Amino acid sequence: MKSKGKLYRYLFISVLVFVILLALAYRYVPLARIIRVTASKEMSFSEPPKTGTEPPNSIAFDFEVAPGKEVPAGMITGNAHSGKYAAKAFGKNAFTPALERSAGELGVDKLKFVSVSAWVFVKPGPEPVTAALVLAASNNMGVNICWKGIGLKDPFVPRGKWFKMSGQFDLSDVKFTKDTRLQLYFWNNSSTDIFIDDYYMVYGGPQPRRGDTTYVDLTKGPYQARFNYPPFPFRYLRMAEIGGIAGTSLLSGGGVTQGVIRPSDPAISGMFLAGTQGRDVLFVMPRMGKPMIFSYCSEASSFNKAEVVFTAPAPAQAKASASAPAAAPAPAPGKHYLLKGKFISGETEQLLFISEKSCGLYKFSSKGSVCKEGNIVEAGLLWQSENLGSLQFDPAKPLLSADFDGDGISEILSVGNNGEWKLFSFQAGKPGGAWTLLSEGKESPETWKQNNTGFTAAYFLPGQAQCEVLSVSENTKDHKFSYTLSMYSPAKKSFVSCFTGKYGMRDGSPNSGGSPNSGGSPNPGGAYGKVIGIDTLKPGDQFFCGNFGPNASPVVMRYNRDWRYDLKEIAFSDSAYHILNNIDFTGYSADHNPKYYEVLKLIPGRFTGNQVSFIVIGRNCKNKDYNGKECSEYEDLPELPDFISVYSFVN
Amino acid sequence: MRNSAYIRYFFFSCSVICLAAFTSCKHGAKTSEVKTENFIVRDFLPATNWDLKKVLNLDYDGAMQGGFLIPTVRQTGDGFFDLEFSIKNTAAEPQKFAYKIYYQNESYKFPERDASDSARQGENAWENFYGSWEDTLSGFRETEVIANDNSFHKVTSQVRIVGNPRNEKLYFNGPWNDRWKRNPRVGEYSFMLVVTAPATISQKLIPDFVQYINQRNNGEFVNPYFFFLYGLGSKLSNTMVSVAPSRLKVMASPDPGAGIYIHPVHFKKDFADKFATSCCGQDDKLFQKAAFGQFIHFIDASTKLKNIPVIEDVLGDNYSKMDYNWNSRFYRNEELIASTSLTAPEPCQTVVSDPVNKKITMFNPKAEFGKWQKQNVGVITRHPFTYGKWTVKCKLTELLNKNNMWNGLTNAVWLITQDQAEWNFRRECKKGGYMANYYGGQQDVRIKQVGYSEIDFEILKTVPYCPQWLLPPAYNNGLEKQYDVPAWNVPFPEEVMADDDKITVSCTNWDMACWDPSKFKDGCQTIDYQGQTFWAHRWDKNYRAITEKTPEPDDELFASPYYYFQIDWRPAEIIWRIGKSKDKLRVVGYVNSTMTCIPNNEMLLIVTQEFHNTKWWVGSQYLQENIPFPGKNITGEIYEVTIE
Repeated sequence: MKSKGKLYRYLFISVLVFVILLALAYRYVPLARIIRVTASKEMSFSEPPKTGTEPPNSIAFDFEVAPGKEVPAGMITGNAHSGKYAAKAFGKNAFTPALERSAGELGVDKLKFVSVSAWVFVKPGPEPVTAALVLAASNNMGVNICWKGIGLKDPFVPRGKWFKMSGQFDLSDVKFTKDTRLQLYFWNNSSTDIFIDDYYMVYGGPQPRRGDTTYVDLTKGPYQARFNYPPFPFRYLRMAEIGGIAGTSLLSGGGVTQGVIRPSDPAISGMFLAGTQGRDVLFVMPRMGKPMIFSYCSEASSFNKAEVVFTAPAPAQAKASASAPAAAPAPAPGKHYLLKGKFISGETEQLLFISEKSCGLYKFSSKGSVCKEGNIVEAGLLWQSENLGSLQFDPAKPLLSADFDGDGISEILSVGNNGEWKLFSFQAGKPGGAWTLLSEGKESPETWKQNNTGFTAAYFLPGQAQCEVLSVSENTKDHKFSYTLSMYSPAKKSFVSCFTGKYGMRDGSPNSGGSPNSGGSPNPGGAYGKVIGIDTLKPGDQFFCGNFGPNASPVVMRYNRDWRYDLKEIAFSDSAYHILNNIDFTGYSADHNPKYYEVLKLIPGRFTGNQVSFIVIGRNCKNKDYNGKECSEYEDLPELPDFISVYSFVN
Repeated sequence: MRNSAYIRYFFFSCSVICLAAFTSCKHGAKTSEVKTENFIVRDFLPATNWDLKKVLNLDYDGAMQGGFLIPTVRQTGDGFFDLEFSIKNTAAEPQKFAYKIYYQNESYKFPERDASDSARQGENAWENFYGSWEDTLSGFRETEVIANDNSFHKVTSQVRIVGNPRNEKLYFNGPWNDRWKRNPRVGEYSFMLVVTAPATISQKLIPDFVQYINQRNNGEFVNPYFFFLYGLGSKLSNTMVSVAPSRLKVMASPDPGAGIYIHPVHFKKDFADKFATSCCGQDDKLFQKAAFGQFIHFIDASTKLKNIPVIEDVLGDNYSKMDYNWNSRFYRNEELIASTSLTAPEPCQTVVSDPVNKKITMFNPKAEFGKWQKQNVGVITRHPFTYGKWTVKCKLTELLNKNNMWNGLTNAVWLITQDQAEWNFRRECKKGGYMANYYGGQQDVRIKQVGYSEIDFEILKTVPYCPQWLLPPAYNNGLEKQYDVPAWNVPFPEEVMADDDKITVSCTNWDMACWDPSKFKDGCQTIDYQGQTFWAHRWDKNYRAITEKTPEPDDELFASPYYYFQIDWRPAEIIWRIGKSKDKLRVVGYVNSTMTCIPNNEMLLIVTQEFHNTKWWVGSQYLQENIPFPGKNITGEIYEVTIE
């Protein structure tokens, strides 16, 4: 009996001691270092927009409580760094609500380095501060696998004012799984009263640069250039001082809204009008609006706009109208495909206008001076087809317009899926005219047969009287890229390779060469160009050829935006292309370098003289998932406002 | 007639009085009578041939090899200070008297007495720059026999201040006394006259190690000022000690227009001669005359950076943070240029001494495609000093452009050890020793003495290290996502942007991690000075330097016509000051010997514009490798240097 009472007594004392120890442990032992804190997750009460993820790889949390939601314990009003609410950590072993995410939400691979910051306010008082801004990671069991803190310790901790804490944690030795929970919270381990606000967490750390080897190492010796290997010299397109161009409009003064051209507006330059001293004008078919032609007026050093009026006769409209020219409806809004060329002999070029439903060839004439305000340009229909299916060439397939045979008249080259091609010339007639087949062929370079092929017809090679066809394709199997450069042989009525040597024969005969990217398979219809260096041409590249040089000297440029703005001056030889320069911009206002824009359209043309320059249009896309292709809505960013400018080389 | 004689007498008397007053003023106040048992001394004048109200500017002529002489023949005619005093023999017999003159630099000295035991010599008082007659074998000199005629007899002598006044063998190079290895300090000098009866000497009441200042007592030098003013010498009978109330003021003004010498260590003569100009080169004339040399940085190969391949005039071309952000993210490794910062491959090309305008112009040369370079530039003085208030009037390059974008340069005004040889070792570090090497790592050995010392102004774009709860800022590195501008063009944190137009003035003392100071500490600590609180930072206990940082407007320091930078290096403290005018400088850094070991060896002044690896500057918002190569020469000018 006595021993039983003794046992109870011991038991009672043991339990009491245990409870006291537990209480003391809770009060003084930093259990939070070992186990996950049970703080309420911020998403349960916060304003949704305040926990967004901008800038990237970051979370900002300002403790604001969404209207209608219950204010959780540990929050105060009346002393916040931002907004209305702040968190409090009053007294020893006090915690603020935690900002909590799973590693899976943040990205397990982005957690090698995590930076955090918060604003802190310590109430005035004599007690020394011992506290920490803590980043903890815990496993499924709620046990911490990582506990890191930025210490806040007296002396010198400010009192009675908000100050910032920040730091970076190297977590590269922590093994995260997608279920690992990360918590950011503030831990007060002193008898002071502390307010906290505006958590900020950045994960991801510095991203390694793309690429591999750095070729130029000046510590090993002086620079020795390697053909086609970076770095490349820079050449600059300088913004031209053209009167009145302001913001997004090519026009000066009151034409600001009228002269706006958007990157998505089909636009093409050409010598469409006579009497422009050989200069090109810009034809624009706004997606929403009337067609316009912009002409540069040297007297005023500015652009002038003319409305384009489409006139009859046209095959479909002639029936409904008298023989005299009359106003006709402009091509309907929608997708348009513009080709230009000198399809008939004469001074000016014509426009082949292909819409979703019809196709027409127009010639332009100005009713008055192109510099006269309110001037009207008539678009006279030379030929039209309202039935695309009846066309000899298929607008859905690659169409190229150029002078392929060197006779001074442009032809249309149509390339079929299997690489079969047809070359058409326009025969003027009264009324209208017709396209006639000049030649056709089934033999073509391999690149012409690939599904993902980009075609460009231009004067790529110096000294040639006829245009060449550059085709760049991606092999659908191995996703490697190859390119060919071909020239039409009027005598053989076939396209022959411009490349000679190992990779091709100029006469177009089967050759033993193969694509350097595809293991050397023969390319009977053409010859592959060599790819030397680490850059290759891509099907989506745009190529600009023309007399861009300061003295109207010829320049070839390749424009790629797969990853970044990348405009390079290149030159084709008889076997390859040579990268000559990176092209950058200069002379722009503030720091609005056109290359920084998410959408950047370059329209080449001899707008101001013999030298070819670019009309450059820059926009940013509102859609954050924009991938460089279709942007449904633009966003005028303050740091990069919408613009249109003219750029040309000055050296 | 009588009246005219009176008038003549009157004017003569006035003239004498005026002359006396003038003379008294000019050569310092005469000492009043000091009596001993057997003689009275008065009217001690340490330099009757020099106006002590004037500052003596050190004569650089010949100082390169012989060290500074104070004065030189160009300053007093005979190259000595003529001293005099008057003595009256009050003994019963005519007799000779023994006397000796001592001098001591008062501006940069340790207290002669120990703070805790005034009867003992101060711990470092032996380091004070004191001396006497150059010939240290010459002890007390004797006067002629002075009659006991109740009148004062003038005694004259000469003295000059020279380097290595104790003729220590440490500073010899073979038979040559390289006095420049312990050059006279700048600042104020006192002169102390000791007169005694010859018996005091013969009876050895004044020990040899006091008479002969080259001698030591138990291995330690004894400062005669301590001995005679506070030690046993102060109690000697029949011995008079008089410190002249007027002091000699000495300063150094190395002339930026006197040419730039090219040291053969950096460029061999044949090569240097190809680039020599009348004001820059390696010839004997410049060796003797030039106060500055071209400074060639030591380039640590481990500081190699992979730089973006962009060449841009950041200061002039509207370069912006957006440009920085783009260039930081949208270059591939293949396009980068791996390089360290460089030094001039040829002498005299980037530094110019202008004898007409008495200035030095230097520039970091521009880069060109294929010749990418971030080349450091600088000049270094050639005549070392220990301690001093080193003031540089200069216009170094602006560091930030109008967009507050940094050009990558660090403007530096700094002192560096003259030599790391034994003769220039710092005083012994008793607690564990110094880290042995400037470039050694954490595992570097510790040794009792090192020759390395450095005191810096380094001015660049970076962030404070303290308080420690704000380092580093929470930078968002953004993404390389062309189609989302806000993803790659991420702003810096607000506290970084708050100092956007400011550069950081970093004040550093390289103490080689000697643990002797009582408040030696790693991390952050504060120190108060004249009502200001400074945060000092040391990374760890083996880190060799302590640094204080102050944000200052770039425009004020580098956009004005000139600006002053001053390092006030004192035996027990270092004060860094800056300002628009020399008489209105403000303190931007302060350390003292309680927290860091203040160097006591000889140093030279360097002024540079240099490209640092920003990994040295943790938390910096801009990384050097993401800053373009300079598109134009970046110029800095030095107008005046004084050491006082």
